[in-house]
Amino acid sequence: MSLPNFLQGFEIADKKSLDCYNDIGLPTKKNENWHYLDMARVLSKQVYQKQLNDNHKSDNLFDAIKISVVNGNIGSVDNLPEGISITVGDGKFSDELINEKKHPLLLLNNSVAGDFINIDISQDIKQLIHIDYYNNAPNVAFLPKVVIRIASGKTASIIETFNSGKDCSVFCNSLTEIFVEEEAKLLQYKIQQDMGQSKHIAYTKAYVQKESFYEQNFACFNNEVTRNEVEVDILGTDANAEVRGVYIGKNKSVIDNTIRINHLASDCESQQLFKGVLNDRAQGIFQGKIYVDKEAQKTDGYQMHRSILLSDDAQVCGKPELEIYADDVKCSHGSSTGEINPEQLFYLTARGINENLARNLLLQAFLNEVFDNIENDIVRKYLQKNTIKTMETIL
Amino acid sequence: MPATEETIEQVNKLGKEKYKYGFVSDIESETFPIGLDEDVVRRISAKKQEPEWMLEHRLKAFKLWKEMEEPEWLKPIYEKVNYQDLAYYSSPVQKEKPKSLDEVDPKLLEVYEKLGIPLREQEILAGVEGAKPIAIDAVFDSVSVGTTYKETLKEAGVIFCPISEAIKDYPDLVKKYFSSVVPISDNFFSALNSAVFTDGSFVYIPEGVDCPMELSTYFRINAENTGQFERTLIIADKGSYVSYLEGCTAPQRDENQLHAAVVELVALEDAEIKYSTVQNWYSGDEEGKGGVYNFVTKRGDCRGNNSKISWTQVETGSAVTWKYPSCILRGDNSTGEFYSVAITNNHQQADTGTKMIHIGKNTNSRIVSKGISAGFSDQTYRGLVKIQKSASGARNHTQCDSLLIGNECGAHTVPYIENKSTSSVLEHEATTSKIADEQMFYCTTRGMDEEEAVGLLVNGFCKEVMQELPMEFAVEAQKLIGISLEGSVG
Amino acid sequence: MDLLNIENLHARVDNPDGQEILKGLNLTIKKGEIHAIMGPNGTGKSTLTKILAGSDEYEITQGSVNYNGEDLLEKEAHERANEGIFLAFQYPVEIPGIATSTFLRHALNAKLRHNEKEEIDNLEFIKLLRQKAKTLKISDEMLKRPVNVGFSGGEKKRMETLQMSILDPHLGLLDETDSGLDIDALRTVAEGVNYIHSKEKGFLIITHYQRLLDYIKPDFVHIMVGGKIIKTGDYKLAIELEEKGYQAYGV
Repeated sequence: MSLPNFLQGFEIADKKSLDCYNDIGLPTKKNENWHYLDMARVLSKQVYQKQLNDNHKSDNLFDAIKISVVNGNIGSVDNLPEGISITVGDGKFSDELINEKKHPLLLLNNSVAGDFINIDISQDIKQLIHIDYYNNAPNVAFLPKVVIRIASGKTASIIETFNSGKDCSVFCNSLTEIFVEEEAKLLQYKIQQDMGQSKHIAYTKAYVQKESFYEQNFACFNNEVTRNEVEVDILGTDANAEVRGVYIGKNKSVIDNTIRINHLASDCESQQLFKGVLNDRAQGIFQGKIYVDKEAQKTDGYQMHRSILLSDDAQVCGKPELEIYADDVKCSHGSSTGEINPEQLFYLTARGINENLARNLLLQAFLNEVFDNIENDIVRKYLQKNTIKTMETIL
Repeated sequence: MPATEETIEQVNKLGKEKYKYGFVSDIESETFPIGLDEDVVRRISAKKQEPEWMLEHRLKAFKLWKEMEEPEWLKPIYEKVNYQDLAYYSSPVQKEKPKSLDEVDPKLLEVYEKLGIPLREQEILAGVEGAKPIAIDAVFDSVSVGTTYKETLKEAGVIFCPISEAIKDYPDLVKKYFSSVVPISDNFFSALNSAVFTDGSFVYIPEGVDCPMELSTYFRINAENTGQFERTLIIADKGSYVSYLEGCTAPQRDENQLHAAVVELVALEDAEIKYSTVQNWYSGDEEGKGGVYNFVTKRGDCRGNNSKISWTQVETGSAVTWKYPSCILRGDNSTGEFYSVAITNNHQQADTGTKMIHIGKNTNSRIVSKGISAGFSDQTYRGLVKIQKSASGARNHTQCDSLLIGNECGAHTVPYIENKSTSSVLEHEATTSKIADEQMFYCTTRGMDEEEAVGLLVNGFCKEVMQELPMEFAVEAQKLIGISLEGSVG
Repeated sequence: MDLLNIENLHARVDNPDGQEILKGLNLTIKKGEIHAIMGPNGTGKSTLTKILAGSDEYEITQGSVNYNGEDLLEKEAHERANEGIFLAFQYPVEIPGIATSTFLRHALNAKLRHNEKEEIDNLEFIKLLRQKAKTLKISDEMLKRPVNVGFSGGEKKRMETLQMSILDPHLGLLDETDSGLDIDALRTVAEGVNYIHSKEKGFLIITHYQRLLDYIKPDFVHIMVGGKIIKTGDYKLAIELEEKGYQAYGV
């Protein structure tokens, strides 16, 4: 057995996963979980390679504990404060994740040899923890493996940013496993802003214990193909999980957010909130699911997806699902697609604001509902600034 | 004891409730031997004395079907049907075609009396004072046995007859519209139906005619190991209106019975079709043994501008249901509606919903789905709203509410949304909940026992859909909700 | 003859850390009597009416309740209702989708069936309902609206009174039926109660104010504090209470 043709220069680390991957193959639209995104087609045209490091240096934007990953090569981490350990090298995903999942790209990630980033948090960490992915080599493939653990009662925030040099073609297949212990609080931010032709596939699995809190805030600023998949298992009572996202697409970009929250314990809350703006031929996809086990009484689950289409060729597809086996729950979802409110637009232009700026302002206001939930000021402002910039390029 | 636990008990009792329509009628019938091959298809066609073009149509469908695979993506898990173990034709034996209902086998009429279907016209007239009379076509196993009010309808220019007759008497109309909404190759079950359908109803409402009465078809599967494959085609010509009702029952049997119908509706300019179904096929016993597999393709085509098609369904029966009454909104300003109540209990499984395909400008669709799961049942709402680029100004509103009774059942909501139009507005809302304890308590302090209270509250939950049903049907449907959830009533 | 006899009733909220709310309550209501219970918030007045009506939110830990000589606590809520107990809710529950008239027909028929009588004919029921509604100044349109949905506070209370007059109970439990009512509505409701009242029937009225008692004259007034009745008197006690407040009774 060997790795698929589109992936070159990598060694095999886990034969079993590879066998399993080869049995299933890349997902096509026949796979319900990939109903709107045909990965077999997306990855049929080009070959991606393992690339070497290069001495790229970037600013520490967030004044963070920073880990640099350049072309898939992880740099060293120095001067760690107390209460956090970051090791690069050996690592392992949980058997449960690898064995039970018939998820082809997850299996592919585990098949390929590569360093893990293991982050263990044992104290409250005030500083942001930043994983900065940057690519500047042509046709680069990288498969990040990240395991994050946060101890009982502790709080921390992690941000991951994905950037590439201009016209740099990238295949990213990222796998992240997160363990949030009792009463812990983990805030995760992911910002996808590759400029080039990136195929960005990410899968995050979080296990959330009693009375803990986990959130992911995802932002995608105009990439070629993005699949952000998040699955949260709520395992203890009175826990809370929130997964939110914002996406802006132009040209032929495809942005797929696939979220699944599994309520496996009682008295928990979850929220999914996604908003997107699409221009040109861009396509937005939202597949959100709330699963409520029969043990998970008194669940409060909420799901919302709203999008605005700016062009006749843009489209949005969605599948907001509920699957419920407990009878004392409150679950709701809503979804809407439409255009910029013409009355609001008129109101602004009537006050002398030119139409382009008026549109930009209204779209920002539309996306701000998601950003308003972000606790960290630096991250929120950074996202808002980037939104304005991206909006200017797509309008 | 908490109200919910008692409710579960009530619901558990339900299984023991005898299915009211579960009798088998002892009627001599002519049934083909089991199995399906090209010869069977030819023999069905010959039995029906069909013209050559229809036989060709059937053979084409059969060829396609053989190459197709049964869909695997469905939520319900059921034992696959062995299509070679079924008989594809069963007909009550008639020496000659009856000229009036008096010549129909009295046993057959007895069946309809048991079903509470007023086949005889005088009975209809003796019905509720001031109620509109209803014209009825009754389909027994695979064959239409009688159509009432034919003459009155004829005066208005309305054609209402078994489709087997229409193929012979109105070949031009049938040729023009048959399979034009549901193509043969549409899906596995529609292909099968196109090959082996035996009868069904045909309706044509001419231009500008407001059909003078409700039209109704009652379907019943009686013979053992028989599939029922009926075929319905309704055409509403320009500016016409028709309201059509469909009712279904089947006897209680240990084996699963197969029902794979195809219904096609065509609404031309300014026409409106209202199609209502109360489906109460036998759903199997409390262990989940037996019951009808209800795999149905229903689709309406709003072909003309300003046309409207409205589906209303109350689904309480069948072991497994697979059904998505859909609307193709082709004409500008056309409207599609789907109102559904589905109740599942014991081990019933239902995968039902709708598709709204917006093609024309300013098309409008509305979906209201109310799902009630009890016992060990599992229910899925599966819907698609698709707005094509051409459909500027399209609007959709979808509302899916699920109610769970007990802790062993499930509700699943899967609304697919695909939008390619900038100037469209789609809204979707969904909720899942249980009957509120305080509502139960309020009802019981007014003297109602828990069964009655559940029946009443569920009816309240379904109100938005129930009010779409024609008056005569609404009363029947309300009772059916009671029966399917209460148990001791009956 | 005793209509209702409560002896040393103790009850707690039915959950693992449920608090005890009734702490040894005694009360006897004879046929023809009207009793009023007054007391500060949180003393268990509403709880008492809910327990009598058969709510499963509470667990009885001690004591007994006899109604017409039978053990009331053995009976289900709907049996109690069919045997003549009626609770007018402090906060009547909204039931969307069910017309008030349909709801009441179900309720009345349940009672008739329970007493082995024939169910009422639909037309006759409508006639009865309209006649009773008229005396309570309830319009036909309101009867068509779903139960309590979109009703004002006063309309809800009038609707409770209408239900009571249709179901014609032997023991009426009025849980703060006067709260949120303006003076006209209060008078209408009181007239409704007085109309139903007879020497065969008893009433238990929970109220904060003496105001209602100006219109419905109670035979006994009880002051309830801390889960039991601490003082019993006649109508004058209510006036006294209005003047002095609960402080005089150690609250």
